[in-house]
Amino acid sequence: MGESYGRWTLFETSGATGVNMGFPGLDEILMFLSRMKPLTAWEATIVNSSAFQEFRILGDVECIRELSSDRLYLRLYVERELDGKRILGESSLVLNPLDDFRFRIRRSIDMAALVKNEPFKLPGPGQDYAEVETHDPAMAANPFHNIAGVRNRLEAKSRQELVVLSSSEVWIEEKRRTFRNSLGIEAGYSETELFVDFVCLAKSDLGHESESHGSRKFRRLQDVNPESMVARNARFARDTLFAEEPPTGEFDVVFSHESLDSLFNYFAAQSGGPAAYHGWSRFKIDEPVVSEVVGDRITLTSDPSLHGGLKTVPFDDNGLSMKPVKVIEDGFLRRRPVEQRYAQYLNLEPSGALTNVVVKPGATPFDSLFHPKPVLHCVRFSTFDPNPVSGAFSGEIRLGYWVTDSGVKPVKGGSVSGVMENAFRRATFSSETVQREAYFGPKGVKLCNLAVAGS
Amino acid sequence: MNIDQKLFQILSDCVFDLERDVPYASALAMQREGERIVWRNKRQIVEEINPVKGVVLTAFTGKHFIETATNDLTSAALKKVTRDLRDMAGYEGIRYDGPEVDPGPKMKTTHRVECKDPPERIPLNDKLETLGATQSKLRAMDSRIADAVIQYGHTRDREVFVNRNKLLYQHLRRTQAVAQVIIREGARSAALHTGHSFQGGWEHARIDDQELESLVSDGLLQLVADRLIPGTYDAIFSPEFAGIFAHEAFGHGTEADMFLKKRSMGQAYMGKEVASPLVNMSDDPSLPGQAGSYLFDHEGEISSCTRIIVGGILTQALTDMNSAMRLNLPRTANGRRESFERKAYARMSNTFFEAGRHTLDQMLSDIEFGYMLDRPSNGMEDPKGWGIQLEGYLAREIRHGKLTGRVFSPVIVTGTVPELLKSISMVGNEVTISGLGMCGKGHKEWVKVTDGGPYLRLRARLG
Repeated sequence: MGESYGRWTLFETSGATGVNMGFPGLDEILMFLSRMKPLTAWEATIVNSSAFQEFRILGDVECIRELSSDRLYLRLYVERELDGKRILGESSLVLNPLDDFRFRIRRSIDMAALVKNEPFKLPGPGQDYAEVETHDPAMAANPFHNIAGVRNRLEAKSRQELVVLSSSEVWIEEKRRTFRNSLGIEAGYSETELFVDFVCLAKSDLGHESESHGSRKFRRLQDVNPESMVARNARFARDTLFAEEPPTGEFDVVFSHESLDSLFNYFAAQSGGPAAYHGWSRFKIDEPVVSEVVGDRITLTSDPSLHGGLKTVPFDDNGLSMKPVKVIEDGFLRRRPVEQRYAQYLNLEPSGALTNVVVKPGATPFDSLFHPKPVLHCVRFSTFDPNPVSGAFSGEIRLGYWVTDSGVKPVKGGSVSGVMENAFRRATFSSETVQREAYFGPKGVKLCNLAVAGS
Repeated sequence: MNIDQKLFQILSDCVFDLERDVPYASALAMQREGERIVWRNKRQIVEEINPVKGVVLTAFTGKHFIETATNDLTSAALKKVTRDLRDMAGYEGIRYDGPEVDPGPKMKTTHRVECKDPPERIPLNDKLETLGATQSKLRAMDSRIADAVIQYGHTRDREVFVNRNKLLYQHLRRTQAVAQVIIREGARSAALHTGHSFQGGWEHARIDDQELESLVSDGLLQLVADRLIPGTYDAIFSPEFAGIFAHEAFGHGTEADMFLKKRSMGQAYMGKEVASPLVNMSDDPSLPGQAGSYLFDHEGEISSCTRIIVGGILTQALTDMNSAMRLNLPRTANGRRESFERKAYARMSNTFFEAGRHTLDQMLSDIEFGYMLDRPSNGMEDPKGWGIQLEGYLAREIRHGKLTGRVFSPVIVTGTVPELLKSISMVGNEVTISGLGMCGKGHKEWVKVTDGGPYLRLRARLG
């Protein structure tokens, strides 16, 4: 896919030329943009992408794929005055090679000219881009070789664990993003991503079968550990064979593993710029995000430079330099992570929208979360998406463990439900931490008295 | 350069070139374009829908499939990806004694979805004014509406499929209209949406006043709704809720690539009873006017109706080319891709419970205490374990055969697929298809689907 820009982040060469942005006819397109009236500003992002994919079913190849694409994403702005008030028209379009860019840009400007949004100023040159890890040359160097390496390790570990590897998908994608705007920013970075998706099948002596589906994306080859992924999913598949429904009632619930991935989404959404600007955020600066807390209080940071984080980026779609933000500190909303637009609308410091979520761990060892018993330990839900507006949540238990004084029994089926505001009044965060795709924080979170619908 | 029949020749050349080496080859060109308008209290968005344009070449080596794809449609680029694919085939090795791919009968056909009001003929300003007026009307319906959102989207999909026997072209047009309200009162807030999606144009862009009023009144009900006490109840699923049930129950459970992977219990139950004898369920990409309809799938199979459950018996699976070939199952037109950049999988189209003979009044009449579930939000199924999860915004209380007006929110249905399907005791006499759905496979591979059904009466565990 052409030259790599180097290990991590690249360059900012405001006003300079010579940056190969890799899109056919780019100079002509930018020249055309500079002449277009009534365009007042523009942003251009080129994404050069290549991907390599292997799909296997029961150890046999189903499909091998190789693809490449070049796209130019344009965002166009038309600021003007209407009835004595400044308003901003805006529109966006994506160009593929050979598209009739003149027609498409004119049409997009026509669209923008009809929009009446509140104006904001684009970020200008002089952004201080951090050197962050977005690209792993080792991953990109020999994609099919790396894919085969990961797949071989998945298969070997599955044999060792005595489970059947039903299917596997291993993809490696490399992208080069280059950004330019009408104010003179020019910057770029490369990124890599390895996607592993597989299913382990376990069988009981009675012939019953169950499965566990593992799926995860990685930025760096060094973070990929197929053996540990298979071992965990093999155990989940075996435990699912004997899982029964949990009892019905109100119980303390420990969230760990995948169930952590979306646990803090409500807090992220409510803290964001769109929620505040559009009037649906219940959070206020320097006020508690959860009232009457008697357990651990949340401290949540947006970290755009988390090593190996999938949301690690040097700048956002506006070319704004991304900054870490302590969003919630000791249970109080301190600062909203906002992109340039909402920063100006809300009169806040721009930092970029929320990136990787980092949650401060608590003081309780993970094992102590399971006292007093009984506790329902949920490791995987079918889906778990708390409503960003109301905070209401429900999730079907795909796999959990019912922990009582008489032992630990795997459970599946039934549901856990509640409302975030109530659930986090009595929360306990483990002292041990774990890193997932875009999360670094407690390995386990206990929420008390949640409604469990089971047998 | 638009994707249309003019590509028949160059893609046929690619296929011809490839089949000099491999037993089977095909080419699919896809182009998606369209427009999207979003109008909310404090922001408007008017833009093109993220366009997709590219070609994927597929070859079967006698052992497995290999593919190359590009969004560069120049003759030179297509020759290059053809050459790359031939090289890949050489590297992978070719067998002529492996399973055979059936290229289907010789045919050349085109299909266009007609629009009553083609959106491109309507001035953009007129569209904005219409949608803005609807948004103003919606936000004025109650002072507790913190934000009112009106969304309109129109997509045009142009697709060309070529193999040694087939030259197929389809131009699909789809229009979606969505209204959403975010409501706040004191410390409580709620969000709810409604809308539709159909094949066609601007004629489908409007949401009528009655639907907007119902959206706001149900949204306000959510503000005062309690959580229901978990338990097993007599329940009625609204047609929308029945739709998500159909989709999750034996939509995913009969996608035959899951059979191939030994991931679906449905495979062992083909020809067996899995539901109440009242239940008939189909997947039909040939349904006129529905948003999940098409003439041919992304592997060139012409669409027709697949009856998945007939009289409670599981009868037929949904196949893509690979699963049909390897499992010796009938090919159905369900081989679909998210885009030319993604692989084809067995996927649903329009999936629905067929009509029965009961009225809603008959269903309600002898329920002493139960719930009518309405306004679904999402669902998930586990084909291997037959666990199912259906989530919704509203459970309307039923007492002594009548809706009391009291609601509970949100609501979740959990259980096993056959347990729920076998508990169906009445099936409504009118089918409604809901077109707002998108379907993922393993949390990715998003394709447009619809689902629906009539009212269903059953026993369900609610939480």
